[in-house]
Amino acid sequence: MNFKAVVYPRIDDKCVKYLSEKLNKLDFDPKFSFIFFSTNFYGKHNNVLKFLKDVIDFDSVCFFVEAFGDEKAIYSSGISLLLFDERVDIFKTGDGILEKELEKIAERLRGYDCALAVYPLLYFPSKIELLKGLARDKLYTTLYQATKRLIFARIHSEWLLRNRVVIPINRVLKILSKAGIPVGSVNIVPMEAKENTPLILHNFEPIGRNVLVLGFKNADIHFKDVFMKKGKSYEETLNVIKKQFAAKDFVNVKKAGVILAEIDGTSVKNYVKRLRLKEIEKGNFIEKLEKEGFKTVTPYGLAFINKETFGSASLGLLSTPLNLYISFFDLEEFFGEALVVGEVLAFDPADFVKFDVSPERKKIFFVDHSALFEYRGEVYRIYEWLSENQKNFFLVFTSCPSAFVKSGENFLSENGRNIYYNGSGTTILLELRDSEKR
Amino acid sequence: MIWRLKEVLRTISEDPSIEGVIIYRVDGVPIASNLKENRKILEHLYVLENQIKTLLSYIFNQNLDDTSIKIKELKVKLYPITKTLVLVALSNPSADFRVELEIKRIINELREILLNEF
Repeated sequence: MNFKAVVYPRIDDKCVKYLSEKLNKLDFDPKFSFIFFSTNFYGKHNNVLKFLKDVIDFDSVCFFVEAFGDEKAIYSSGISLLLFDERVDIFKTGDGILEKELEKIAERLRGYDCALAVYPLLYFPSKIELLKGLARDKLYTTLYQATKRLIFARIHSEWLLRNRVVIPINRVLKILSKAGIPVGSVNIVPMEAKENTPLILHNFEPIGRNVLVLGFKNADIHFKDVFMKKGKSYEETLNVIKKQFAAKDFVNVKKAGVILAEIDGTSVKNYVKRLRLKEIEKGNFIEKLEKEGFKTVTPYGLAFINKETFGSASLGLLSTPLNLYISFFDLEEFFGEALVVGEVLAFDPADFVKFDVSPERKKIFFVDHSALFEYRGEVYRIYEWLSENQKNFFLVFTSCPSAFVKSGENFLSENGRNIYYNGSGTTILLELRDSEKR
Repeated sequence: MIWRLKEVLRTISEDPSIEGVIIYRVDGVPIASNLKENRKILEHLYVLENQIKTLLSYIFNQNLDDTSIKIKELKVKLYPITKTLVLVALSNPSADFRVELEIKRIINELREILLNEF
């Protein structure tokens, strides 16, 4: 399996002409394509999308990413097309219960070498639906605060899951892992969320709140994180987190499903105020989603420890109008205490991509986009390291890449047997094999 | 060859948070630029000329990677391109990570042109 990258690094009128010329000059017939728009292309992308829809007659998966890079540079503006010379089978969940839909797909994945799930981790709906959600938050907050019974947080969590406002990474990976093959997960949350985002397209049709699963042959998935290795017990991992991150407070949490109801006896909204993050009220929150975008990255996180593996996953703490805070992973598998941590700046950004793999093989790195926020221009060291040590690579910066892989490594992000995810600091690698050499 | 340098500068100047980019020689002489028509920027530049010369000498004598100064609504960042040239980027202080990434990208492009064609 092989791919060719076509990159146009700007947002201007010449984009369509450039892509047209490149597509006409191809020396092979593509069978599948990834299409990545930079997020600052959002709203100006329709012309280019219409052109691509007219000329592309093979399967495609398209979504918005914060940045991407090839062997020449890292680009934070523009569009890239990855054109594959072999077929990739795409499965999409239907409207039924998500877990059952994923079970059906897991059954069909047997026989593939690996799979990649692409889905909206958190979906930011339209204004009307958002107002309904905020009203439900208010109702269940009132009930929870009056009774202190977690059942009300759980009912709200189940509503969020049923309506696929959040599609938790651990639930998706746990079900897809039943296929017994490595599964990567590209969970999209835009750095600046707008209403009805993230937009993911399958053959130029929005998938909405569904999960796409791509079945690959002649390919492998690898995972790594940039943190110290996890401990063998709760206490050991707690010490690892304290050493690795700028730990601020050790707190007790009340949680149910994907809802974080309380931190140290107060609502998350009130707790976040103590971190001196700028408060955001309902009206301002909706206005941001409608206009410039609501920032989903934060320097603060809540590091949980997993009950089964003693790994850790951190949940970013943002200022939102919600009292019942939404997590992008199911919190049931974690202990009821957590550490409030700050961002990590001690390690080398190149650590994100230091995999022990053959330089010759074609590879696509999906790197956690919080690296862009933390390192800004220094993130270029990723590109510099790859240029010196690898060939045939493509970089995609997206939110919390995660995976089910049998790596045998004690990554801090192992939160479930062979299931790896975290709020930051992770990378997955899709490595393509030459079909003749299998 | 200057037109090729200017063409590279043009690509980043289109970013709304970039007010201008200038390539200076180590002695402080500008050799290529792309500035938005903003009177305030020109006034700042006039004042900055001497400071930039001092900063250039720091960058080259102390082997600094880059350095920056901030004046009210303007961030001035200096990045060495070669041993004798530096790129000065004038941007909005609230500019996000994109600007820094794009600057790194064009520095690589400029280096390629300068090393291959000068």
